[in-house]
Amino acid sequence: MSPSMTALRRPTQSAPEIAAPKNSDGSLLRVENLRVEFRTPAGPVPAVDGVTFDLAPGEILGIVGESGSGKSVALSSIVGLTRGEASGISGSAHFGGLDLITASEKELRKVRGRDIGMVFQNPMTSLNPVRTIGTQLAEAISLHYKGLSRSELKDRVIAALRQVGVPAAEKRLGQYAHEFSGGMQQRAMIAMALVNSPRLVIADEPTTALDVTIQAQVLDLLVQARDELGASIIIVTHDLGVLAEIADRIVVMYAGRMVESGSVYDIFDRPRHPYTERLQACLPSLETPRKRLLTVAGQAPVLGARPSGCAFHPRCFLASDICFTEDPASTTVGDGHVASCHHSDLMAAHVKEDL
Amino acid sequence: MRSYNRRWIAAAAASIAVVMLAASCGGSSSGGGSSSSSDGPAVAADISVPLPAPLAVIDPTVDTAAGGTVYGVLFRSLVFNGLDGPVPALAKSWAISPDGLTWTYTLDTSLKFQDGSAFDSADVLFTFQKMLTAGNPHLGTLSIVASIEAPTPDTFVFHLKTPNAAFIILSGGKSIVPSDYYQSVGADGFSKSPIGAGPYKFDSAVAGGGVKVTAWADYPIKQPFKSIDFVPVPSPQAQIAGLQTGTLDVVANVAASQVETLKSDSKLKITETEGNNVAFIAFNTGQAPMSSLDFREGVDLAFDRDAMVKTLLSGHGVAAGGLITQPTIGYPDLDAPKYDATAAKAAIKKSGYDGSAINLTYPTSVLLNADLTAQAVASYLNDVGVKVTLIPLDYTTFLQQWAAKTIQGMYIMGYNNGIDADTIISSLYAGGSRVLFTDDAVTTAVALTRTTSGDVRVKALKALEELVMETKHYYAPLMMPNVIYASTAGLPFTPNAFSPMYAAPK
Amino acid sequence: MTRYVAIRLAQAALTIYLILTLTFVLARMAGDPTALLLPAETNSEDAAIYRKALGLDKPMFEQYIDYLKGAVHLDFGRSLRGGGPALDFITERLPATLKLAGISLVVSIILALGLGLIIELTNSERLRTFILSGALLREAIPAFVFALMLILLFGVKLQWLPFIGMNGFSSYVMPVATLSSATLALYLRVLRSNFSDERSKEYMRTALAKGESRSYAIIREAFPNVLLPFITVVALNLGFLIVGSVLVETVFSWPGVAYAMVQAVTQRDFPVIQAGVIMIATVFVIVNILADIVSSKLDPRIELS
Repeated sequence: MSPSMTALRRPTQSAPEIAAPKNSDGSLLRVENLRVEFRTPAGPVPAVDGVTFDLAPGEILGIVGESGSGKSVALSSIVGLTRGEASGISGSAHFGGLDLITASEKELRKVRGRDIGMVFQNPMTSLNPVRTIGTQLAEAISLHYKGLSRSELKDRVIAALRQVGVPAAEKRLGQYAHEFSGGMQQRAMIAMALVNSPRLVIADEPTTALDVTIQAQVLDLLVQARDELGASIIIVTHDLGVLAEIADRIVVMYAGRMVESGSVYDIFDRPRHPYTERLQACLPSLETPRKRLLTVAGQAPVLGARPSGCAFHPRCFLASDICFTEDPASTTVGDGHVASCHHSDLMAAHVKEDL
Repeated sequence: MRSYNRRWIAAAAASIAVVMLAASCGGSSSGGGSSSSSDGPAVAADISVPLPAPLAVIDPTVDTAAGGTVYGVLFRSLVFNGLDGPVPALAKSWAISPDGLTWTYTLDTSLKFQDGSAFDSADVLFTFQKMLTAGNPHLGTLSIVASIEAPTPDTFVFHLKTPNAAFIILSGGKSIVPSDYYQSVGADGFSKSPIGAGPYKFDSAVAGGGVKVTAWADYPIKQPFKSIDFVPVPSPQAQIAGLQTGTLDVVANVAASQVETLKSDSKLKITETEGNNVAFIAFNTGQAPMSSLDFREGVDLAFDRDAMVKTLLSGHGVAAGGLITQPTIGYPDLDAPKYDATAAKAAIKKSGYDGSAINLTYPTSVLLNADLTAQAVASYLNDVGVKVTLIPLDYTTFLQQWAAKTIQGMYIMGYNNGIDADTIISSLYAGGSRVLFTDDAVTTAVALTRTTSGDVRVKALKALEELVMETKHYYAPLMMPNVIYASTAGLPFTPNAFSPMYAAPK
Repeated sequence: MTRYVAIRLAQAALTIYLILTLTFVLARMAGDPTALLLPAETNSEDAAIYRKALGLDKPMFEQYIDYLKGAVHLDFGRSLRGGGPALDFITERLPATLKLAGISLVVSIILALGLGLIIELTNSERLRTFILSGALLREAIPAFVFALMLILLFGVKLQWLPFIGMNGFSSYVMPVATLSSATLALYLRVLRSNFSDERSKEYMRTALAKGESRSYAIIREAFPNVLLPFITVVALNLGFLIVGSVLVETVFSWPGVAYAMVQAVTQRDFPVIQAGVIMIATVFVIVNILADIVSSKLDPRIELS
């Protein structure tokens, strides 16, 4: 366990707040009907459609899906990072009273890095190869808090690196990304995301590129950030197993849409969408050791080639005629548990049989 | 070095011409109205003159090429070689022994060098001893010298291996340096601060191999210019541009095609004199069909020389009848061969020429308008049934093949007459390293020009030229471009065919 | 680092030795200088005496050994034309060339980086097309013609700038403009492609996620990464700068080495050619080592070893 993160308080001379601590409904982030379109030769195609969820302060939300499911695009769009490439972004994403979708670039810049920290999949390439780790971290602070002295900045950077368990932090300030191991790089990335004590941390596949032993340490750091800084966390991953240990709630995405969302118990114990069930089945388990890891059979649809009706039907073991023609609506299947499947009832029965 | 694609050069030249025209049109309109400030009184002026190549050294005893114009104003020689023949300079008079092998110069020891030191035969001896050292480039022109001596302070004697009437030109034109000064400062010191007896004194070096000279107050004759800046300006285009802006005052060798443009500028004056560079065709007589007199005569008759002057030189030149031309001393002034394609065809047929292609080599520079001239020659020859393959060579490569006598077929070249006919004779007639024929009659005729003087020599020269040109057709002379100078209007500038004459002649 | 410099210096010495040899061979292949040095009237016996006096009659290998011996003592013989030490002839002119080439190099880098950054920061396709077509147009005009066009416009027509020789600041303007603009299009293309590579890198996303603005990220994050391959390209193009100097020095009557070398080549002045080539090669080798050191300083991933 790393030392306490309480040192990562915001500097006292704080810039005027852009975002309030919460939305008026008590949530920190409330995303409604997010739709992100990209231009293709065949016309604009939505990569993300109808994504709706909310996040309470201190909550850890997992978003899971295969690559191309739109999970990363959705998250990037919320903080405005797809504004350059996307041909259309609609819906809303209220964060502390500010709608990030309609906010100006200038407002977003103030929020990014200060109220919302981000961690990415590939720490090696996500860090600038020709600038020292210290510089990159110090910049993360000075971009938002002007007027800090060099020594103050340095102290804060060292503290941030220590919090995430980088040993001999002082010596490593002057080093470059290639002089860090993969795990240390990701720790540095997390330190950069946490350095301003943000309200929300978005971690996009934070462990995918890492060793299994280091994966756990990184996840611990995120949990610690929530526990000690009170930050909400969104973890985007294709690995449901990662979420089992830390997520409070989980959103499952498929072909740009949410197919199921609910508490971690709902998703693991009472999945109401066949895709969720398939993702779970792919997890290695101690009880039923398998020689080979399974994957969900079939191919995820590519952008612009969305199947008719329910997009999952070509790969679904429950698919019936209606699945070929009609898009299933989101249905509340339990308290805070929503699924989009024509056969969520059958799923309920199927899961019981399994047990 | 790189060789440039010819089409690029042509395109570049065309675009330059367009821009230049535009620039000069604008220039003349602004300067319109009151013109002709020219031909005003000759005021002593400071002038700037371009040097086509930088001077590596200023030392006439080791350098034969770059500094010609500069040496002409800084130094004096034993005689001044004017258009009307040699005139006394450092030498008061000269005498030739009856066998033509001993030349005695009587020196004017009342003259001084620019540093005030006295001039006597020791200076002449020192200068020629240096020039006659193995490895000195002057050796080439002084190769007939057997020995030299300075018996008294005011006499200097050359003993020759063979007689040559033109020796006065060769020996009398060498710049004399002050012996004591040269030896005290050494070669490098002399080059950095040269002293001569000429009308202008060394003032200072100009960056990049130029030199500034000022009129020497103690020189017997008043000079037309107060000072002359010799500035290295290698590019002909930059020379003209410099003249147009007033940075430069005199540009030599102006292209005939630019004359009309420059004439329209009232601030400039164009001075045109007869040239001394004859373009000609030479034959390698060791090979068929060039060994046939009929063939050579046919080629000689194949050209409309007047038309070539009009088109290739824009009319700024004359048709040539021989290689030794005016204003060279003793020029025979032969008429140019008459253009007769029918006679040419007949002569070539008679020679038994089999119609196979003959190499026609030419240097791409030095020969004026080289490519166009070569193409015109090829076209005229084609009209009379002679097929040629053009072989352009860069000048230095050409020079080496020329000196080694390895040029096959025929070649075109332009060659400068000296002030005396012997320059051409020793290079192209007298069995020297560039002569591609052997002919006892020519050898005899050459000897006669060297052992005679006065009117007898003039007759001998005429006989030699008629023999080489009209009887044997060893060369087919083509044309001689004029020398065109452009200068700032109002300057007392009167060049002749051999020299821009910055110094007042005696 | 010391070891690296030692190795590089050894390489440099080898390079210079090879250049010495190559220069000797090429200069001798170019032919006999006596034909050029002596007047046309010279007969062949006198030419032979002259050749002997210059040592040109010795066996080639002996000449080569003499030449190498001299080179060790920086003695390249005396100019066949002028008689002075060949190296002096070059060293006297070297400062003028170095000043012109150095200033042109700096101007071309500043120009390219400045325009490249403006293009990236404004991200305007129209501006990019405008700047790049201008640079391409310049690239399409041979340096010689471009220089003459400048002379005719600014020298003759407007009479703003001098164009003969090196006299003061204003005389640098046109030669530097000619030399430094020649490589502009190339440099802008290199910058453009490097920038678009770097902009899609993940660290740029990190930068934005930190709250950096797009312009800030381009200057602070992408630019140092772009600079590295750019320096390599600039170093590789130093050769063009030297070739360009030959033309520019000739057209602008610049008292530098390049023009003196052209003269020496046409006159087959071997000692001057050799001294000049060695001098230029040495400068070139030194500049390349410097470029390596600079780029290794900028790129922490490169270890000098």
